[in-house]
Amino acid sequence: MTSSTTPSSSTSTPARRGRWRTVDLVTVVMVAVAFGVVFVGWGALTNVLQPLFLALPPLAGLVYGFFWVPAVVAALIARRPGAALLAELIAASVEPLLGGQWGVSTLGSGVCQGLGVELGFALLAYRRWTLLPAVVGGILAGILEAPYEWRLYFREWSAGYAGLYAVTLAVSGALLAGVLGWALVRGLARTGALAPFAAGRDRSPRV
Amino acid sequence: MTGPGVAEGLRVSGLTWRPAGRSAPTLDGLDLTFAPGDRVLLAGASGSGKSTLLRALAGLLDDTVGDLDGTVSLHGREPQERPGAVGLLLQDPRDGVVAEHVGRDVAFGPENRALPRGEVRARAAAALDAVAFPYGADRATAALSGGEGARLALAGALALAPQVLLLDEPTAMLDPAAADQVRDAVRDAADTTGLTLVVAEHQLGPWLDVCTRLVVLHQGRVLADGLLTDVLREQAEALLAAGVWVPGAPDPTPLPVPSADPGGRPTSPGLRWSGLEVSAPDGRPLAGGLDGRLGAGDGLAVVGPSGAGKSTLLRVLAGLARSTSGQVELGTADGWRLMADVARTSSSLARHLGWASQHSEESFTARDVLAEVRATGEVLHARDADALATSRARAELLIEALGLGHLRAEDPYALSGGEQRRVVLAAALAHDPDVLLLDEPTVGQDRQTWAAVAGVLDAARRGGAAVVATTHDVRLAERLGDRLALAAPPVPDLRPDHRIRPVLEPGLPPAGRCNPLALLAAAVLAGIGSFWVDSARVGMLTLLPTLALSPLAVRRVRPVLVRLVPVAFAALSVGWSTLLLNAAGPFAPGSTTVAAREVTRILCLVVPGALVVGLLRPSTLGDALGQRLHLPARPVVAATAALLRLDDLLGSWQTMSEIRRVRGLAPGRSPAARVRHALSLTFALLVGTLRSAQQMALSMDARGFAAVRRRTHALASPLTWRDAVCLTMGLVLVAIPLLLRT
Repeated sequence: MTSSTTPSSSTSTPARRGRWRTVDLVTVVMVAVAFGVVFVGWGALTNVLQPLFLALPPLAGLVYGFFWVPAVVAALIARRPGAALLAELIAASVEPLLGGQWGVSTLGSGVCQGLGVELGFALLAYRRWTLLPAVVGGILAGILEAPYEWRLYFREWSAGYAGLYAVTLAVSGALLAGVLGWALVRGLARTGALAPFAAGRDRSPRV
Repeated sequence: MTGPGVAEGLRVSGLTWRPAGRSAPTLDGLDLTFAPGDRVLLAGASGSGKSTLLRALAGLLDDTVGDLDGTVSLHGREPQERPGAVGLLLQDPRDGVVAEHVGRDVAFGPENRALPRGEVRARAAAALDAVAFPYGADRATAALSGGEGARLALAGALALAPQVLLLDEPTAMLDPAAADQVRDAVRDAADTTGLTLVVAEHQLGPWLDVCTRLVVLHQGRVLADGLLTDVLREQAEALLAAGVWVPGAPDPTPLPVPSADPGGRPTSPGLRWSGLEVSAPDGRPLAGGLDGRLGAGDGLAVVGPSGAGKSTLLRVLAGLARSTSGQVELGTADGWRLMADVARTSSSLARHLGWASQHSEESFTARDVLAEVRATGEVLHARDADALATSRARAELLIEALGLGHLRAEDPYALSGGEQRRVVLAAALAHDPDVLLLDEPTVGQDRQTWAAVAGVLDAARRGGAAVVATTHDVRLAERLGDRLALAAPPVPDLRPDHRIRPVLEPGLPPAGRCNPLALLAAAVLAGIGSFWVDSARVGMLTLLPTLALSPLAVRRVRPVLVRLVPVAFAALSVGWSTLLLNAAGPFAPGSTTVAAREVTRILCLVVPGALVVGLLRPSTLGDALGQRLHLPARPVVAATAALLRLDDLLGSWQTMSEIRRVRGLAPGRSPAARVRHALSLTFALLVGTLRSAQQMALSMDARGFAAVRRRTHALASPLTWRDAVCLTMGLVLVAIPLLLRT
């Protein structure tokens, strides 16, 4: 308490960089629960859109990317390994509580999607918290989710259709999770709500 | 005031704090000493550093987000060396709630110190006794009113035997009766334990008989420090200039604000209601037989303790909620119309009503204050250039009158609480509505801004608007004239049991008493069993036991059916895509059999889990995950606390949609507009969530959460014969398809 520390994510000590403050932990889980609430509406929206995809069901993957945006948002805010996975697990556990249609197996989806986003940031050694790893994470989450759902729900689809599904999920993940998540965090930073985080210090200083 | 020893008491020396991104420090070279047993009132203008100083005293300033110089020491040591030695109570007690039931919430601090279970329970019960908490330890935290929540927070701090208690504007949001109770509880705690008390407040008067010393902060420095009465006398001028509510000073006179041209709009007859009944969200009737009438320029103050239904009444008057009986009518150019009819379209509602919600951040839709204040006018007068110009001029006038001129380009979220409330008020008035419905418009305002708010409301009434405001501000109620008092809910029994015990919800189905891990395991086993369903017949046979046992897991049929409808859709969609995409080709012969099998398989996979999920509770699940699976303590506890916010978040989404409707900002019909609207709501929900999270983290750290390596639990997570039965059921659901396989 007696020393003054210059704040900057690049000069903080490695030990501190990995340690989870309470505010990091609580923010990640609260953001996850908030998205769980949002998913009620998004799930209803995707159900309404299902008739559009009746002719070719794997195309429905184009709207599912939004379901792993909490992983991207949590990772970009907390900037720590494991944030994406934790957030996605919590968000996925809220869904069945609020009447999600796949019940407890949503948790498995949460693991796949969370791991995919984690991998996106891990590939850059958790040093870059920018649009690129967000988009890569969004794509990888889609690619991991496809075989999970293929084996669990859509067992009779041929490999070709499962591949198409993986592509739509990956595209959707890149846009609706990666790009959208990154844009959300940038907008949140501008409001000042991210003051305790490095992500919130990218805005211009107030006097 | 200084003690004899060098290291006694709470000392601040040369304390300077500059948050990252700011050029001026919030605290600038502070030197203060608080002797044990001191009772200090901390006053100063908004932004003078009071909250920051309290966080520094608790040792909770995060030096990764700012520059910290100087020292804070408690008896010569860091304040956080013994977590809980310095208790911190925040302005909104709901931010600090971490458990479902009162007893567990109070036990949070002792659990974090890894005290033995018996001692955790004893301390929790003693703390609840010390604050004379009116309910038992099994009371749901979600059901507490503002004052009860504040006392719960106080009990939570007392459970750790603090030497110092810091309170950050503890009564700002409370009605006078609840505020008295909280003050009494604080004074009793200080009398009994001799702890040091530091209270940051705007309204000094009520604390005169609790505190003996006054410290005044100004721009991060100590302006005055001495005996309460002396400082009040000597520094009265400076305090009044800083906006502090100095006791004994005359009430501020409302600012003279020019009112809108009275001839510019035909005066509306106002608002009338008859036979209204107001009920609590859970259906309890709160008030009935309400009749009233407001003409143009009239004012009405709705007063009463929190939980009495003031906000609900306001929503009913606005046509946002249905009253169980009675009706509300609005006077318009076409005569009296039912408010329910007016409320059918967002724009007609906005034309007549101005609405200011208590939670200002839930109202914001724009990126800067000017756009926010103009928002409703822009929508209503999109096609009428003259009316639009008038509306913009009004917005400008209001911004200046409410002291927001220098903030017009700022993001509304970045403003202080008091500034945000004024923005919401300006936005409610800018389009010159006939009726103003305001929820606590003067909370958090200092003397100057109170005068501005009162002046603006007077001007609105002179211009012909009728004003209804829920408030616990006596001065505002006097200015408004008429008063509608809603009664307090009945007081509960006098000797509640404060001991922590496992809570049995009334009406919980038998399966609800199983350990949550057993329930989840059974659901997972059932899911595994679904893999061996190889025909529709086997699927149906596997579903039968699930459905036969479902009365054990559900009491009422309707909620379960509601939950199963999306499951049925999911199963049917899988069946459809199987018909279409199976390896033999679309609609090939034999594909219907396969599709039917897939439908039943999905049902076997999902239905057991859907039945079980309704029985899970965050608290028992957290206990099970922590004690049975030995998952790391901090994430589990944090996740449990966050899951408790679920209902609040759902309510918040609902409120935000309503506010947009009242302001004329409901989305259009097109899908693009709806998606934009949903994204805007998502963004607003996230901002609110981030704020709550930061407050919750602060409160948890004040109770020792940051230093947790191992924690104990006040309640065990037992495994009983019920869980063996539950697991057997799961195994049966695996065995049936295995055995019936052809």
